[in-house]
Amino acid sequence: MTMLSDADLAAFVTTSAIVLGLRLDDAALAAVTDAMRGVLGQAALVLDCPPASTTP
Amino acid sequence: VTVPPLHALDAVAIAGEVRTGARSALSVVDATLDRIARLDPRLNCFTAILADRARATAARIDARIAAGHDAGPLAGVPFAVKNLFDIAGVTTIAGSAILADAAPATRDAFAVARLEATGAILVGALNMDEFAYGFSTENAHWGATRNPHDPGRIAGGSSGGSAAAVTAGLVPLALGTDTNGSVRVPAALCGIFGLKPSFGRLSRSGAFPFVDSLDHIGLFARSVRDLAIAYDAIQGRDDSDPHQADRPPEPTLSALDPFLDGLRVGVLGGWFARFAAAEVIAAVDRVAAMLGSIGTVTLEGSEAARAAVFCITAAEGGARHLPMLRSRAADFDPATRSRLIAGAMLPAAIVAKACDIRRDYRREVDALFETVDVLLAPATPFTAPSLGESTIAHGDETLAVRASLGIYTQPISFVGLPVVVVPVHSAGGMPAGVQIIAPRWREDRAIGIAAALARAAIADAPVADATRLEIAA
Repeated sequence: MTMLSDADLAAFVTTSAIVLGLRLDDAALAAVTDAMRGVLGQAALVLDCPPASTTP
Repeated sequence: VTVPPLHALDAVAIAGEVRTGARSALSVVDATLDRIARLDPRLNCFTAILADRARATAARIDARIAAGHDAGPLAGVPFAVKNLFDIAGVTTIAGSAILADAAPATRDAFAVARLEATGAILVGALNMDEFAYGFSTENAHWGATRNPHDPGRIAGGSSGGSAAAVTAGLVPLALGTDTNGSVRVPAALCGIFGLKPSFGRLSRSGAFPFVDSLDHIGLFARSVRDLAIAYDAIQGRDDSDPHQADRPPEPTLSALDPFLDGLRVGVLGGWFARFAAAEVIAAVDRVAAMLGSIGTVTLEGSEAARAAVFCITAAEGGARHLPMLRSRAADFDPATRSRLIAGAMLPAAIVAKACDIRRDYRREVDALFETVDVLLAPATPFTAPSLGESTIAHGDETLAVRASLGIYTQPISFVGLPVVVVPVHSAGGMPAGVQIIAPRWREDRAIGIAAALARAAIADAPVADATRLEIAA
């Protein structure tokens, strides 16, 4: 699996901020990148779960 | 005969005195406002004090009683609400600076109106984490709310002002909200009773939303009968809330003396024991022993459930606040802003998978309730940390305080179960909270068990010692 580097993560956050129409200075972008690292840590646990049951 | 001071009485006792004329509602309000004026400068529970409104309401109640009318089961009882509840004539700030510029609310929230319809008297609005996204009530705009049992420690959050106000005897009752644990965490850290009902039970009309699929209205009190009577008062259908379940009110005040023989009580292990401090485990053990627990049970999906609800909260919360983040990002509490924006950026596939996990976890929980009647779990992994403390040691591991406080509450509210947190105090230490978790719609069972624990003196919620709270004039 491809590992997400710090530079990749920063680029993802910067690009996403543009897509969402957010105007953030460098300090705010860095803080969001830190927060994103925490969210993605939990997201990895979600993605690693076995496929959910197919019965709704 | 020693007459207990007003702040030592619970809501039912206060109402009893007001209804019989032993005290006037106005005298109750004046004493309450005086205590708030003396103690709140140290605690920072209140963001608005409604003295004129409270005195006017009290005068109407006293007039009803003087005329021989029934003034309601909570006649003259002061209460306060987390500042995300609408109060007519007051701006609903939801812990933010951004909303401070907004127009005042034009009507009271449903729950506020229902409490006042039973004779209770609203005296103010209470501090919280910004937009309810936090567990510590260390608010960048409005200051930190302090724990009345030790003002150097946090009260918990996000309904921290509500919990601290009840703990300090400023009011006997308070409303809060619970999305991931925001009633249960501060109830535990402050050492009082807290109720988070089933998802969809209570109307959320007039409460500023955080996460639509997770938000609950909840209550704080220092006695279980107060929880029950106030919860019963705010039940009822509200057609203006599309999220509310279509169920008739199911009163709980008659459930305070349950028959416990044969009750199957399981103690949640696994995820719910990992990271727990010794004093928290000891509190669960005391409760389990009194109830005759059948032993440890597990919910294998709990860690994944916690991760899933973390992602859904961030994503839904981020989406809700995106318009304000686009226009006024700099005016958010920096800690809130970063997490909301990160949530808004979360890929949709992760959120969809998190929703699948929720469905499967609900099935696992339902299956477990075929074998037990009630579940016990710690409310928090540790007792109240110091203000500003960012990490806490657990064995060889280091836990982030803010993120860890909800690890035991998040899986439970994810699937909408009703919970009463019971406070367990130990000599010389800070209180710990134990979650009494019942099947969906069985608030009566959790409340009844909490009442039994209080009668057995396992759970209690003493008013904090005020001598350390007053600031010298």
